[in-house]
Amino acid sequence: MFVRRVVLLAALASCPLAACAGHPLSRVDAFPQLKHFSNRKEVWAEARFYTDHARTFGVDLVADYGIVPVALKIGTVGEIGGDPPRVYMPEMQLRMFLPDGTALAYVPADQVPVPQSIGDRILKEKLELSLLHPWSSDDARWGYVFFALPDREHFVSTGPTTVVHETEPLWREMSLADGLVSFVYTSNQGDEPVNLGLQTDSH
Amino acid sequence: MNKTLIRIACLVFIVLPLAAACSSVDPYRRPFEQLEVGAAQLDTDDFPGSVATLEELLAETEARAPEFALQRFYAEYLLTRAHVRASLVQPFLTEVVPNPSISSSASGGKVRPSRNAHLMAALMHRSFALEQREGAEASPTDSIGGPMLPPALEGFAIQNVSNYLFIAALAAYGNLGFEDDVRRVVKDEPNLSSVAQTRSFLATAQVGEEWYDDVFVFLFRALRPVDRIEAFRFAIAALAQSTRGDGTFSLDPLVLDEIGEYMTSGFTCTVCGKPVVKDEWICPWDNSDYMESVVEADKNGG
Repeated sequence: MFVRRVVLLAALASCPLAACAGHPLSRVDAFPQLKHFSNRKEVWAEARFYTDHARTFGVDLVADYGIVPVALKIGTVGEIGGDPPRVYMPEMQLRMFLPDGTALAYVPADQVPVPQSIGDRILKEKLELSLLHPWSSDDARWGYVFFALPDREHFVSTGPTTVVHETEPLWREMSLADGLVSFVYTSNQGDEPVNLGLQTDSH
Repeated sequence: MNKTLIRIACLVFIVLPLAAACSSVDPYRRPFEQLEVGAAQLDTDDFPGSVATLEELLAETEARAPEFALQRFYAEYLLTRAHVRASLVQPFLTEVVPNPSISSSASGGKVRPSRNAHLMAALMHRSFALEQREGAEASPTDSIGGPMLPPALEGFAIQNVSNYLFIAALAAYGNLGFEDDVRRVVKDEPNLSSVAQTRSFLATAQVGEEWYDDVFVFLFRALRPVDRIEAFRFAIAALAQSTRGDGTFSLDPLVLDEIGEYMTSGFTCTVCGKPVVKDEWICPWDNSDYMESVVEADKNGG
């Protein structure tokens, strides 16, 4: 994996046409910035991608394990009539999408395939959700959720936020920060979908 | 001697010109054919086939992109269209959602078709198309081998493609629930500010009438906080557009409820003065068209 990254980085740096890296490569430079917060009636949610998440976990989860950590905060806003909105992690249908339509599956924190020392940090930083608390209260907290790049061998990390998707016939370099996070919460009307882009941030 | 001369003449006048012709095969011919095939596949709802064909075109022309700006612009447009339509008709990209019946300590998930995946891909190809637009406008439309675009695309002007790209953005943002972005798109395009203008705009963008009600719903939601009367008109247009022959609506019941709730939130008929009736676009009391004859009760002293 490391050798491939070096070769790809060298190719990207030296060859403006990228075709000399062996495959035509297209950069997704102008993808529209998707709103990183969502206000669905009674629920407010925000998502962030920390470019220096390695400081938190002690390792670059994207480059080394194909895992994308996203910081998420969900809370209630306004007056809640009737039953309060609810979330239950196994039923949230959490997933993430890249600009080329690649879907990343949610990985529960206790299943992220990393050595135990890293796993302990992941468990410490994971999003804890049961009841939704008012957004502005101390009880509504940020926490990480984790998504796995599919076909990991076809993704190469090329920077703090970028990956190259080696798909046929065209490789695409994309920013993880252009991704979309989707989930549902349960209200009196049933499941309410929430979609939000990512705000890039650092600690 | 004569045979030698004949051989030399053959070489000079037949073989060499033939070889030269072969070496200068029209480079725009293959993209032309790929556009033709990709557009035909899209017409028959073969979305995976269309995407594969057009992605191949992009891959083969990537290294000399500026020269192929016109053909790449149309390829990106068709890809945008393919993903928008696939998201609405028959998604072929997939997503995995956790299976709620499986405990958090076990792995597993359910693979299902993904609208969101297609909407993201549509936004990406739309971005690429917008990047190519300037180059496409500056590009010649003919090469030595003939036109660069197949007949199906030749009559669809770059401006009309751009109109479609506006609608694609609106469909993507609307379906993802980004109403602020729908409002921004509408603000950027004055031809989407009334129902009549929007109908005309959709026609120039070759958007199928079966999608008009969705577009009207997105515009209704986007305008609701900023222009209640115009939002009302788009709601009425969505209702009228989605009416089936048997009087039922093709709109999702939740959307119908949303529209019905809005219609009965303080609007009155200016002809009879009575409150607007839910799920009707013609006033049942005086047969006037709500599109033209509605005012908010509180603004009419009601």
